[in-house]
Amino acid sequence: MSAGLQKSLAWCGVAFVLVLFPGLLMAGLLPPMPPTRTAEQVAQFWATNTGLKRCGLVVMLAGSALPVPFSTLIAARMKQLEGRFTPLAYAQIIGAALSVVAIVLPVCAFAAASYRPERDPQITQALNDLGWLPLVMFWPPATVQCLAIGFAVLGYRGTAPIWPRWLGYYNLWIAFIFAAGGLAVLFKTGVFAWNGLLAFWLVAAFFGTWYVVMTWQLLTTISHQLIDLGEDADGNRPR
Amino acid sequence: MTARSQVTALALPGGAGPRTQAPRRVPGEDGIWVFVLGDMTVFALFFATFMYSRGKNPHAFSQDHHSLDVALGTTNTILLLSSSLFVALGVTRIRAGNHRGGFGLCVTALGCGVGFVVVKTVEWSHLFLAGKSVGSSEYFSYYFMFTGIHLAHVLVGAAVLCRLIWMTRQSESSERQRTLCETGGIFWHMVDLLWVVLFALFYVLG
Amino acid sequence: MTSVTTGRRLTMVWLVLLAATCGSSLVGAEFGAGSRSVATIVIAVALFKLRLIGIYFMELRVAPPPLRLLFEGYVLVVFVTLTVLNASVRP
Repeated sequence: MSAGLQKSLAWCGVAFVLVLFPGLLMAGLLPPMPPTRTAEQVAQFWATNTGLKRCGLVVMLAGSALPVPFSTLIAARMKQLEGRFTPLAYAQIIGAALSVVAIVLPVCAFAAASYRPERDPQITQALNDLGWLPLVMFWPPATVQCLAIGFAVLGYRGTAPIWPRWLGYYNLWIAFIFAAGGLAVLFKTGVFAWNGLLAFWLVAAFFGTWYVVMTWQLLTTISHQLIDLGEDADGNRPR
Repeated sequence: MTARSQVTALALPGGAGPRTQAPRRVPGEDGIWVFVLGDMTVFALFFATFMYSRGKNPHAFSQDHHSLDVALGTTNTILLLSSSLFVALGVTRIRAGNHRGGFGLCVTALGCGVGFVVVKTVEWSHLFLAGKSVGSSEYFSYYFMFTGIHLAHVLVGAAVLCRLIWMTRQSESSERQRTLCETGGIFWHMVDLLWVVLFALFYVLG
Repeated sequence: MTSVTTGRRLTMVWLVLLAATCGSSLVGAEFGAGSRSVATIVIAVALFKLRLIGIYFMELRVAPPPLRLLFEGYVLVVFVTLTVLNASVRP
């Protein structure tokens, strides 16, 4: 595989953040609405600027698959670390795939919420809840993904580490952070509610920076990967 | 810092007078400090949000505070501080190649950690029976969430200590393994350090 | 630096930490809510204990200056933040 293609896969991480963020803004999901809004207020929200909000959701959905190519390059790097027997690389892939669902499921719920502004507000509020709660609470797959990377990096016993060990500790730490949103269903106000400082903002900030950090670490190690495989930058093995 | 800490620094061995300058090195593995400082920062955010909310609602917070069992909280703090001492002493032994000494100290530390979990369970049971839970008030939302997240750290720390203990059962250890022991110890000290502030905010502040 | 000296030092730090802990508990029991200066002292003692654990147990006293400064900076920032937030308590 050429260096160019690998770089494209790596940049998908940053691209995901760059697509998701404007999408969230357009859809009116940033900043998040408080869980304490009444059904009428929620219906009112989804009935205003409907066109822009729907476009935002479409943008979010379009970007939602970008973690796929990104995580596969991470998996390839993890296979280098793990050697022949690579269960952690597989765990990372599954975690990444389910994390895609963490975006897709809420976006579909929000799409349904915005689809018929004339309906009963109670139904719209229910769909709105179905959007917000999983968006914030869907932490296990992301945690599994980061734990897998962390353990793969820290478990490497060889003499030519592809990734620095601090990246392993970083992923373990991030894995913990994602769980902060996990109890959002128990709160309607405060820092652990779906719009809370800790359950939403803290997690969102670290979620975004994780993609940037991992993209950077993937890019800096592409040349190592090529050397390891005995290939040149175009993916050709010298005769 | 405070006058008290200056006095203490002088009173401790090595605080004044001629000191053999040990070469500067990063304790444990470099990377653990990403985790430790990062986690400490997140908890600092926890502390700040608690104090902010307390500022807006001091009477309700004070009232809820009185439902906490300060004796149990203090016991837990003493358990964790002691376990940290044992871990620090244990790591010193392991570094010197004394695996038997390290084993004993680390097992004792683990015992203290288990004690912490037991006391916490008792405490929480009392609170649940009294009708307090994570949703009952703002104070108790903070209390259960923060001490709960901390408890998760204690459990992870206990697993780390088990790994340390397992390592001391072997007759020899490599430089790499000894560094990992030190790293594991640092994680445990972080767990202790975070609790010390939680203790002050929930059990001491009126 | 012998093991014995290190051990003695660590034990002394532990004793100071215990004393600070028990002292805090008594203070907390004596003074109810409302005393802003007592609360500041409680916060100061907590951060002092945190610092002792970092410097002696985590062995930051032998750490290179950047790491040590980061830690000290943390202690200072947290102390100032919590004290300021405490000062804005509406009586």
